[in-house]
Amino acid sequence: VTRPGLATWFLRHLGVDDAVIGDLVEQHESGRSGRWFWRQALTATFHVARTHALVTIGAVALGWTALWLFFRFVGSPLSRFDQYLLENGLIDRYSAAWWLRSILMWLVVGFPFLASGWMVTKVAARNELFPVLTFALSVSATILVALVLDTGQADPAPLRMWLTPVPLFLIGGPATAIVVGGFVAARR
Amino acid sequence: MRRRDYLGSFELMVLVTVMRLGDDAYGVPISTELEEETGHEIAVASVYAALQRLEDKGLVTSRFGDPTPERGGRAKKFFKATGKGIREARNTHRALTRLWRNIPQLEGGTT
Repeated sequence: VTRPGLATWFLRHLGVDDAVIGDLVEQHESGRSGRWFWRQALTATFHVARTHALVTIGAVALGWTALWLFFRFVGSPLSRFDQYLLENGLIDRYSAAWWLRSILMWLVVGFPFLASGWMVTKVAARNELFPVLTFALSVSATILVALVLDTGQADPAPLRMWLTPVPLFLIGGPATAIVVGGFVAARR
Repeated sequence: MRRRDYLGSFELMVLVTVMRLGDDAYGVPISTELEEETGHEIAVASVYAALQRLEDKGLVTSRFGDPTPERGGRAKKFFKATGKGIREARNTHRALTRLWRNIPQLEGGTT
């Protein structure tokens, strides 16, 4: 009988008690099906969510605050400076400086997501993955809503954009950075 | 008057099962016994949630056994009813038995 290793791994990182995981593994080894194991794993996850709801809400709120502070006081001024450089022709397109500026901008955009994921996981301590996954999901959902409602200051996004990988990247990129930050924080 | 915390039906079932199993009361036999007696699948996590509440109320105590390979190197968590737990189960049983009397719908038959 092969043990659903992924489920066991998730349970451990979601903060499920080791004794519960041990019981599930023992029963699975003695003949319970993989479906039974996953059903039990889902119930255990639900219990973790209910037990640690306050920690999760607090950690997610902290993550959002960190993102807001970063984009308000670092991201936004940098973006305006970048716009100034481009509009005044101070940087030639595809020049070495342009590429350097592009890399820098990606780092500036990616860093807060990575850092907020790290922070949320550190704050949530015992049940490390649940809050960070909730936070990542909330960020993705917010980006999706912003894209659908087209709330940006720039020109309206063309509908054909939805046929490209761009939305997937915009929605999945920050979430991935948050989860990576969470994994770095959870590494022992 | 001091508020009294009554046992929920699932908590009571778990407490009684812990008492029945004696020294071998850990998650697997508790949930297996409950499944056999109720005829329903029991979520192991729900059993542990009930055990946690019972422990918080001082009705059971827990201790860890040795890690075993068939559990992926994880230790069993054994539970034991305390004196308070046994009294609570007895009191609840008495109260339920008294309440059960003279209810025609609950007498005889299986439906």
